[in-house]
Amino acid sequence: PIKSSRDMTYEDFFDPVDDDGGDLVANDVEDDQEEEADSAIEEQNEESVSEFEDMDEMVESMRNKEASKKVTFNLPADSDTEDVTEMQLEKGIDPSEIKSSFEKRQEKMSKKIKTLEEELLEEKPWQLKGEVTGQKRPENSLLEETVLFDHAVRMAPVITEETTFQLEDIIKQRILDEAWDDVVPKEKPKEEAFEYKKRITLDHEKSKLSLAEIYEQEYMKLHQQKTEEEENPEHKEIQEMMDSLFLKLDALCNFHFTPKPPVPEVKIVSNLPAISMEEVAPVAVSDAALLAPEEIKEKNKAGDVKTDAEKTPTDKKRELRRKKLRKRMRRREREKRQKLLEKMRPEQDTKLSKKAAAAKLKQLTKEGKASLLK
Amino acid sequence: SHDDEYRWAGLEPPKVMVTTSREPSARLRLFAKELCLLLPGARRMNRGRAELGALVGACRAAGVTDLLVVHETRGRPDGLTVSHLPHGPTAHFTLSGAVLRQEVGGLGGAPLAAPHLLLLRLDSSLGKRVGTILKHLFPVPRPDSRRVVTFANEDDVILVRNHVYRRRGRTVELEEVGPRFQLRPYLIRLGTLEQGDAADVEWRWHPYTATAPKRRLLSAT
Repeated sequence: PIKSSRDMTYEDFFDPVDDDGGDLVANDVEDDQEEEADSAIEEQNEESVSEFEDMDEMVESMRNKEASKKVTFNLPADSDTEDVTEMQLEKGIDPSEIKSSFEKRQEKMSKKIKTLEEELLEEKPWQLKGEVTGQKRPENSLLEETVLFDHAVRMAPVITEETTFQLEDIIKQRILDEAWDDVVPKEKPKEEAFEYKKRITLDHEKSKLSLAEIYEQEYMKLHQQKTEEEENPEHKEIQEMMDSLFLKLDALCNFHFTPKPPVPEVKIVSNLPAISMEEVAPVAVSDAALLAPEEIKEKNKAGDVKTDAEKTPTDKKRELRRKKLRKRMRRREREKRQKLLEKMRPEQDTKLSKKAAAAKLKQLTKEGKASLLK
Repeated sequence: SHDDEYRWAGLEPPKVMVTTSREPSARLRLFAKELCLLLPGARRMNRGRAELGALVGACRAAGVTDLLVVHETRGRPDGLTVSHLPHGPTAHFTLSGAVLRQEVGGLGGAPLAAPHLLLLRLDSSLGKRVGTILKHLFPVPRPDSRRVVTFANEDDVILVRNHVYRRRGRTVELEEVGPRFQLRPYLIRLGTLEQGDAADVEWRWHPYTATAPKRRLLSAT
């Protein structure tokens, strides 16, 4: 009869795989069927029992398989179990004394634990005892130890043949390039005082310009140079021509309207001195107030002009001295000139001028060589 | 700036005086002599019981530009102090791995020509400073000089080597001549030796910081 879908099993679909495999699978299948069929409590009981039985069966089949299997797991327990089983089979020991792999693993573990515990209970070795002096450890034991510690100072580099060769290679390359790091020879510029003085021609006259005006002039010089550079006319022309050309080309090429580029603003450059441009003073202030009186008229070196009443005796004497000096100098100059003239033209002017004659007469009368007849 | 002390350093050849610490061993005296062979124009002086202040004063009066003092530990040259004399900087180095010409043997006469100099990998500002201090112990060489003195920096250790070379077409044959040693700078002071602690410290090596083993101070990379 046709099985209902509820009763369909693996076997209906697939062929049995192996005898052992088939058994295993069949066992599972049987279990499943039994579980489904029975009641809850019974199920549980039977499950546990059946599972147990199945487990044992499975384990036994596995073990039998292992003996024949080529590939096995590398569990130490399993290998032991294999050996044990083999040994036991050889010796013919009672199979009830054969331990499961789990049990064997457990045994090993417990052995390990035991040894570790014993170790912990024993006395520690000297390496783990903190600060150990030479007496507390066996002789030369430190030589066998690899001790790690931080070095504050790097060890000097070991100079081997290789390092020497590397260095020499670099040196050779530098020699070929002639790339030396020699001392650069210098020359001290020797300047005699005479030469130095020649260079500096000091103007002993008082500067006619005030300091502010000097600075102003220098400033103007600098800025004029700059403006000259910027407004090179040829460059400007070229730039304008290029701009117009490109503008026309753009207009021809572009489908869309491209507006003219903004023309640069016209700069108003007034040729006034910068200081007057920059000087910001209120309109109400007159020029007279802007300039100091000394800037209007130069101060006399001698100081304020004094009237005769204000002059002290020293001032008067000073003036007199000056006057005398001036006269003296003039007189000397005159005499020199006359002497030169006489030398130059000795007999051309026998006719003395009236002045000269009167002067000569006066001189003669003074000397007493001549006397005036009245 | 730092190198104002060496502003006119290339004008005249430097006058170097080499001396040792007190009561030097034979090997230290030998090393001092070999330093004089390394540095052209250097003269060695017995230390005797000369006090440092007097020594430096005498050197300054005699127009010496650099004073080198070599220290030792049981025959092994240990430390070098380079003091640039007209109020110049003083650099202190630890010396290690000194190999002497006489101990190598069979080298013949030492070449005394003014050598070309190579300062390798002294890139950082500190490295350059140490480089200038060492550089100005030497005079300006002739361009055809065949001797090279190298100060190569490797991991903050300056290897000092002295070679004589011969160019053969595109190859160069190097022959090592002269003493070989390593220098590690640890202190630079802005004053002469006799000022001692009073001089300002330009730079000092700090080995007991956490990152000290990682830091490379003489090279820029």
